[in-house]
Amino acid sequence: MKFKKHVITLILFYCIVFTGNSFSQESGRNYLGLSFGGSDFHIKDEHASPLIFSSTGIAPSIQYIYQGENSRVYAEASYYYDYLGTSSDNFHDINHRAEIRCSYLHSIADFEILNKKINVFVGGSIGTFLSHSDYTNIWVASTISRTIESWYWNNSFDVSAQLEYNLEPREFFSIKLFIPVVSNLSRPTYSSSGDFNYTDNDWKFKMFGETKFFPAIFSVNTLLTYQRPLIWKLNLQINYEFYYSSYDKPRNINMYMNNLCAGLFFCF
Amino acid sequence: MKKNITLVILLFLPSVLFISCEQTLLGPEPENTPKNNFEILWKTFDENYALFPVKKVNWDSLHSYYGSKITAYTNESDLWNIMGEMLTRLNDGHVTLFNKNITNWYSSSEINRRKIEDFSLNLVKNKFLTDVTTAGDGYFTYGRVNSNLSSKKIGYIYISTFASSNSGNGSDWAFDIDKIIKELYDCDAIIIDLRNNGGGLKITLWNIASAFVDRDITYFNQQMKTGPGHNDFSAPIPLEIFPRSDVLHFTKKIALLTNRLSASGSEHFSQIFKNLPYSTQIGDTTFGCFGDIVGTGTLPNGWTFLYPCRLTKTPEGYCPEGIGIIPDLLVENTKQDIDANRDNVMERAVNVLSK
Repeated sequence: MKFKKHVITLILFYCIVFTGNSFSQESGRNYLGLSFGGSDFHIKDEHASPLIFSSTGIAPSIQYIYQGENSRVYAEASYYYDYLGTSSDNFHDINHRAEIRCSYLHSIADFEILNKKINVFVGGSIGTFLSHSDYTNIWVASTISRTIESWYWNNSFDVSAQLEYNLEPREFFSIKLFIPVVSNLSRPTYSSSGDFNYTDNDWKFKMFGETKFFPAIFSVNTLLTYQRPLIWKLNLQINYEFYYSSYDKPRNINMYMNNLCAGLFFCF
Repeated sequence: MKKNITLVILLFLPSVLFISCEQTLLGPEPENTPKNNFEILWKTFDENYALFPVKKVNWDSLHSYYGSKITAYTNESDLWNIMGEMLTRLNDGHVTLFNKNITNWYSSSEINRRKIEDFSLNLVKNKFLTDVTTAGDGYFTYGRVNSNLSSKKIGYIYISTFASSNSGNGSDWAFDIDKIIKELYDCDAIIIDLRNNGGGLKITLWNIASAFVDRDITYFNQQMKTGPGHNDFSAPIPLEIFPRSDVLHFTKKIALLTNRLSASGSEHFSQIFKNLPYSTQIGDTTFGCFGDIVGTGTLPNGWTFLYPCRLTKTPEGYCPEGIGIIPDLLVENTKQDIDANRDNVMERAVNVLSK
C-alpha cells in the first residue's frame, strides 16, 4: 500500500514537471490526434504454454504532442485487442494490451542534412504497459474453456531519445527510442494456483510486482512517425511502432508487436 | 513528393523485417513431433506437479522408460497409450490427459478405471424416503426417511456435485441448502449423502458445509509450488470454514455417507465433517485425490492435460492423497446388493441415527 502511494506520488511529480516545462515554452505547437491501425502481436509465455501465439488485431490510440523550441512533450494512450492463434487450432489467447506513456525530451544537439535541420532530443518518460491473456481451449461440445490467465504489467521509468527531421512547417519525421531504466513488473506467481482466488473461482491479476533495473527487465520500444499537413489545421500522421519485451519469471516470456497506424491530428 | 514516398517506405520497412524474425525474438516453438509432445508433458509435470513428495515415483526413471518407447515414427494412438500409461503411475484422480477434441481422455487414477456400482439414488428414494423433491438446479435431492423405518425424524439430503451450475449461476445453487435446512429443521438428524459425488468447486462446498458447522475449523493446509524442484513449496495456506452468519445451522446428529467415488471436493467436505463431534461418516473410504487442480497443460498436437498444483495435508501434517478419508463406520455395498434392492450404507445410517 505504501509502495503504491509512492508510485502515485512519482507519477504526479513527473506529470507536473513535464506539463510545467511544456507550457513554459513559447512559440510551441500542439498536436492532438487519434490514430487507428493494425497491431501484429506475437507472444511466447511459457508460464501458460510452450507455444507461440500470434495474430493481427486493432490498435486505436490517442496522442498529444507538444513541440517547444527546445523540448518535446508526448502523452499517449493505446489499446490493443487480439484473438491470438497458435499452430494447434484448438488453442487461443484472448489478449488485451494497453499502453500509457508521458515523455519529456530536451534538445541536446542539431545538425543539417540536405539543408534540413535534424534535432537530437533526450529525456525521460514514465509509462505502463499491460498485456493480459486468457488462454483458452476448445472443450466438450465445442465450448470454450479457459486454461490459464497470465499477464505482464510493466510500470517503468524510461530513458528516451529522439531524432527529428523537420521538413516543412507542421511536417516532420521522427524516430523515438524508449528503454526502461527501472521497472516494476507484475507477473503471475510460479504456481498457477498462486493467484487463484478460490472464493471467486478466478485468477486475480495484480498491477505491481518486482522492481528491477535494466536489463533484468528488458524491453525496447521504437516509434517512427511521419506527419504532414492535410487540410486546414489537420495533419495526417503515419506511425510505425515496434515493441519487444523479455522476462524470465515465473518462466520465460517474450513478446513483440508491430503497430502500423494512421491518424488525424488537430494542430493548435 | 518523392522524398515523402521514401519516408513512408522507410516506415514500412522495419515492420516487414520484424515480422519475419519471430523465432529469433521469441525463441523456437516446439514442433509437433511425438518426442516433443512427450517431453513437454513430462517436463510440465516435473516442474509443476505438486504431489511428487507423496507419490513415491521416480519420475526420471519413468522418463527413461517411457521416453525410450517413442521414435519419430510413433503414431498418435501409440503416443496416447505411452503418455497415458506414464501418467497412470501417478495414480492421481486429478491427472487426466485429453485428446484434441475432448472425445477421449486417459485418467491417471486406478479407481476411475474400476466399475463401481454400489449406489443407486433411485433405490434410496424408492425404498427409504418420502416427500422427495429437488433444489439447487437439481443438484440437491432431499426428503424424509419413512417414519416406519425409524422412531426418529430423519432428513435426507443427496448432493450430486459441488460443481458450478450449468444454468450460469455459478455456485449460487448451493445456497438452496438454507431452504432445505429450514424444511428439515424439525428433524432429529440428517443424512448427507455424498456417494458418487466427484467434487467440484471449493466455494460450493463451503457454501453448503458452512450451514452445518458450529465452529471455525482449519481442516486442511495447502502448499503451492514455488519452483521447479519436487520439494519447492510455499508456506502452508490454511483452508478454513466458518459458520455462515444469518442462516439456520443444523448442528444435531448427522450421518455423512461416502463411497470410493466421493472424490476431491467431497473429500474436503468429509474432512470438515470429521471435525464435528455430532457427525459420523458411514460407508466406504473416499476416493483419495486431494491436489488442487488449476493447472492445464497444452501440447503442440492439441492435446491438453490437467494436473494438481497444490499439496494438501491435514493440520497435523498427514496427506491422505491416494488413501482417502476413512469412514468412522465402514459399510460396503456391492452391485449385487444394489441389484437386490439393498443399500447397507443407508440402512446403517438410519440405525445409527435412530439410537
